[in-house]
Amino acid sequence: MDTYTKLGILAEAAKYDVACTSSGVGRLPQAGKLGMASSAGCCHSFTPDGRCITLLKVLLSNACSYDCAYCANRRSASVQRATFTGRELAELTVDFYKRNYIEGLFLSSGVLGTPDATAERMIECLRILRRGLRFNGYVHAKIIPGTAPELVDALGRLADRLSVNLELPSRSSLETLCPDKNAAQIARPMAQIRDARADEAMHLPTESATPAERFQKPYDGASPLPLRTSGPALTLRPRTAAGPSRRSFAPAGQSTQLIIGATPEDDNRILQLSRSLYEQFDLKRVFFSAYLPIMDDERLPACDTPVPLRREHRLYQADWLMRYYAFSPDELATPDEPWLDLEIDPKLAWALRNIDRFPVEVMEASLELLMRVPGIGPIGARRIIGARRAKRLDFDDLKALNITLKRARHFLSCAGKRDPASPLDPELVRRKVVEDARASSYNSTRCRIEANQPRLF
Amino acid sequence: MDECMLALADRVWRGLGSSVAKGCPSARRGRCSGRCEGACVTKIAYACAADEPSMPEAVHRYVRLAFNVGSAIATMTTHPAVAELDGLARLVLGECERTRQFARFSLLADGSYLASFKPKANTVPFVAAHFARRMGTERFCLVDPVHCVAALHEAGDRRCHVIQLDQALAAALAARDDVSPDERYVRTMWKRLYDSLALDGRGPDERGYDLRASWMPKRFWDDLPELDPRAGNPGAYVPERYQSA
Ligand code: SF4
Repeated sequence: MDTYTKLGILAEAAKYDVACTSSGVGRLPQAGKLGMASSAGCCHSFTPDGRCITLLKVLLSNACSYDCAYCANRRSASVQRATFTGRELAELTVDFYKRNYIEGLFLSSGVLGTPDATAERMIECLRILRRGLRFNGYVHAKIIPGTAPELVDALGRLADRLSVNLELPSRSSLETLCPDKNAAQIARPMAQIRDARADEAMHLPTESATPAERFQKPYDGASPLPLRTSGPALTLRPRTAAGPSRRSFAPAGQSTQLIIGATPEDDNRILQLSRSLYEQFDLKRVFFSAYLPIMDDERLPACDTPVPLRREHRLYQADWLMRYYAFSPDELATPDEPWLDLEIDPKLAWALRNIDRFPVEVMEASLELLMRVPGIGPIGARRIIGARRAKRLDFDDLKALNITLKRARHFLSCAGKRDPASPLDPELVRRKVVEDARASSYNSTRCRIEANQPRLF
Repeated sequence: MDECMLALADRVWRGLGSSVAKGCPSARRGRCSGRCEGACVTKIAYACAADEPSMPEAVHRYVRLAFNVGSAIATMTTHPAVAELDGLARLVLGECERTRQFARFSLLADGSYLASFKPKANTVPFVAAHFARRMGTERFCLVDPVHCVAALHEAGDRRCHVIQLDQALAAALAARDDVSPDERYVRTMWKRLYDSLALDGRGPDERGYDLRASWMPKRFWDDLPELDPRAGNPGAYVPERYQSA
């Protein structure tokens, strides 16, 4: 089978994987090597449905010997099978990279016989890429549960990021839908990766603060914001002392992915799970993938079920709020109301439920409080704090600071003054937001969340 | 630009650097350190790359203000002159990002790489360093036929030479089509990957708006091989490295 045909089959087979980011590690170029990694990542193209393409994302093989119910490549499915040679895939990566099509390779595979046999093939491919073709760009490798620890270790030394997919939000769902996998098998490599990274961090010197880190809280507004920064760099989350650039094992950390909407777990449960994963395994990202009903199977929703896109989006927003705004899962989807509001975003929903905490005073509010105002993000909040040292701010000043006031207006007072045209009326706010939900503000949030793209100023 | 003007501009630039540094907490030895990535001074350079007709006046207003108030300019973010300059700089930075995202290189018959890109601001001087880091091992040229600027890089060099071209030369460079025989195959592979990634049930119709066009502005589409219908067929020639597979 020629490379062209294989590429079609194996890209098709990998497209359900939503994680496609190259961010999280900055690596300088090295003499004689091709490429580098920039911590902000770079989206080189977008699919017709608007997902960012950053990496060459394919399966090494779709000839899988497992039988996960939801998967198009499962053993019992009748699809055309193909397997790349390591050389072929490595050459493709380099050819695409040099043309500025991609930032690197996302390497994943169906189970070729056994997890270990598959891992060995992946390692072979990455060795050709890293050593033979001297590729210094980004590599993400997916670990199959059950892979031997020494092979996980070898992959971690060739890749920037590793991921072990949780697949489903609960143990029982996993047992029903993935008969060949079990929760312990998934947790083992996750723990190994966490421990290996922690171990390496202990032996690394602390890196001096980057410009972005110097704007960690408490932000006093004494110096101007950098010209170019990324939202994620401005978070309230504590950072680890050892940055990624000196690490040799999985410098960009690990992530995971789970399918939502194939099984009955509610949003509160998923957010709780997501938070405990961040804490327990020091994950960089949890990706949610809206279930696409492609397989006819009685254990799964019927094939005509709409894809829960809106829900996926709200979960990403909620996850974002937990990671970067210090929200807790129960603030976003309460145990009594365990589903996120699909009409409005979770931050606004929280604000409307907690209307007694508003309005927030622009001249006095802390960074944390400003960031809880619907419409104000980490950069906007810092811009306000910087500007208010020089001057009593009014609504026009906020506009000059490039802060989107559409929503925020309702929740702010400027030196004691409210905007009389924008009362704190939950019903009114909700109606207005729902009305212009089809407008483009929806897009920019999504971009920030999905692509981790740098925001300017 | 003639020599005198250059010298003059350089003088103003330097003067401004030390003027805003007076009293600035991040200044080093009386000069703007660039440690905060030079928001006060560097952003003028970005703003100057904007195509907007209002640019020269806006820059002038900002520079005068900066000379008047010194380091206080850093906190005057709500001042109209500052806000206007910030707006221009932001616009150019956005266009720089798009250049990094959507410039597409082709392998030429002589083994070097060429990309022609038409940004809405003069971005090549700002992104040249990025491509030099990314493609250090290659000989390449990134040309902007709109602003008649090119970044030239020799294999192994740490940086690019950025040069101003005359219109005819810029156009001729951008139009070079002596691509390597590999090129067709690799472009076809890329389009194949792109086409395979499309998912049903998530498109503009289900979503209610066209997310792709908002991330990837249509003005770039003509130059993206993944959207080029001509890249649909690999042809008979297969590069040697893909033959054994
Ligand atoms: S292991 Fe399961 S999910 Fe992965 S390719 Fe095989 S059947 Fe699909």
